[in-house]
Amino acid sequence: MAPVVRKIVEMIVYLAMLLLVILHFTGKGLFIYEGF
Amino acid sequence: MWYLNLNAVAALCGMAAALALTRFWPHNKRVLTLVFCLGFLYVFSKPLFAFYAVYTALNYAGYVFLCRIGQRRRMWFAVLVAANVAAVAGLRAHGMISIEQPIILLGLIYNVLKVIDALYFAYYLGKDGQAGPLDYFNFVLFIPTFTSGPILKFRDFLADVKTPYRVTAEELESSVKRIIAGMFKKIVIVPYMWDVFHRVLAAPELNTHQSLFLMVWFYALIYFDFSGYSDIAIGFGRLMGYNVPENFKKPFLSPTLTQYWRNWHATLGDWFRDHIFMLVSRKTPSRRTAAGLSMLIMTLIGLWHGFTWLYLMWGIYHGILLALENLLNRTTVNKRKVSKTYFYARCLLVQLCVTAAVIVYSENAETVLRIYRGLLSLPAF
Repeated sequence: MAPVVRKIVEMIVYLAMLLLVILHFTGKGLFIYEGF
Repeated sequence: MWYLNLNAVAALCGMAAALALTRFWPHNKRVLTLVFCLGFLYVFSKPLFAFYAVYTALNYAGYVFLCRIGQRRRMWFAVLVAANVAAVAGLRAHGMISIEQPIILLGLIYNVLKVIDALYFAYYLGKDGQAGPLDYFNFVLFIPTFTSGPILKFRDFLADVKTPYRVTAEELESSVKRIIAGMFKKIVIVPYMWDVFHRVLAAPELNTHQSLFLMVWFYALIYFDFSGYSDIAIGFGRLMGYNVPENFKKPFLSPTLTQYWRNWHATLGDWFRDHIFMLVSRKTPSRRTAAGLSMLIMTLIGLWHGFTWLYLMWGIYHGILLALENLLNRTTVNKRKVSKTYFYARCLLVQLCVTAAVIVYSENAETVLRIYRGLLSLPAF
């Protein structure tokens, strides 16, 4: 049971990180080489 | 830095998918990687593409020449290495490779290290070390590590290209996780940390506690920045079927500076150590020789970052500490033979030594000096 729970927690953490990355990608000032 | 651009990230993901879909074709990894690298550079910037096409072709010609030539090998080796060093040093001296560098010189200070590594390979192996243009171009233009480290080694890269493309389910999972973690550091954490750094720096006068905070904060920031980039490069490299070496190997648990420099930005330290030690001696050097070489290597690493007196002082500072460790025969601490308290106290001491100087990489000289001056300005109670 423990490995399954750990995997689920891991998935939630990584999805949260991915979501934050995607949200920050839409922010200003991150696209350092405009026009690429 | 490609990884801050959504189009570039999408292109790298597409390339990884294309390689996975064509894995039945034995040469997919070598041919498609080159097509991708050249295409990527062409779309990114046509001048950059033209510059690197000529730069890589010229260096490949030099590399093949060194592999084949039978006489005066040492002299030609020195000439070819010196030409590369002089070209980059000249550009550095004219301020053309800096943070706001012209796009055409993107990644040059990293790529010149790869080119020199291939020259060493050619010099020591001769005809046996000659690789085809496909592999050489892939080595120099490899997109995941093009703009900064980890620095690939030619010997390892050639071993990699000989193995067919294969990414297991476990590797796919660990690579995707690595890329997400790296992007999280680079895109979410680092901008936030810069924001805090600039807010504290905006104070009209810095006091001791603020300067100390800025120094520790910047050290953490630079760790997230570099290790985040390395995570993404390693992840994408693996998805493309290549093994990109680790750059950060638990550097905060290094009990000596010598061990620290094998764990922090490891591929850069390894590159300088390997290539300079190899020139002097291929045997284990004496303490004095090792101390002198450490001094030279750290000074060169400082200057490699830029021709400023702050970087030079940083290099000399670390060189002196490493030389002392060598002279006093204190280059390693075996965790199993000492108490935990002693081990972690040594790790803390190393971190203090590093934190004291790492701030030179933060901003311009004026800001750095302001932070150092702030250390002496105790707050009024």
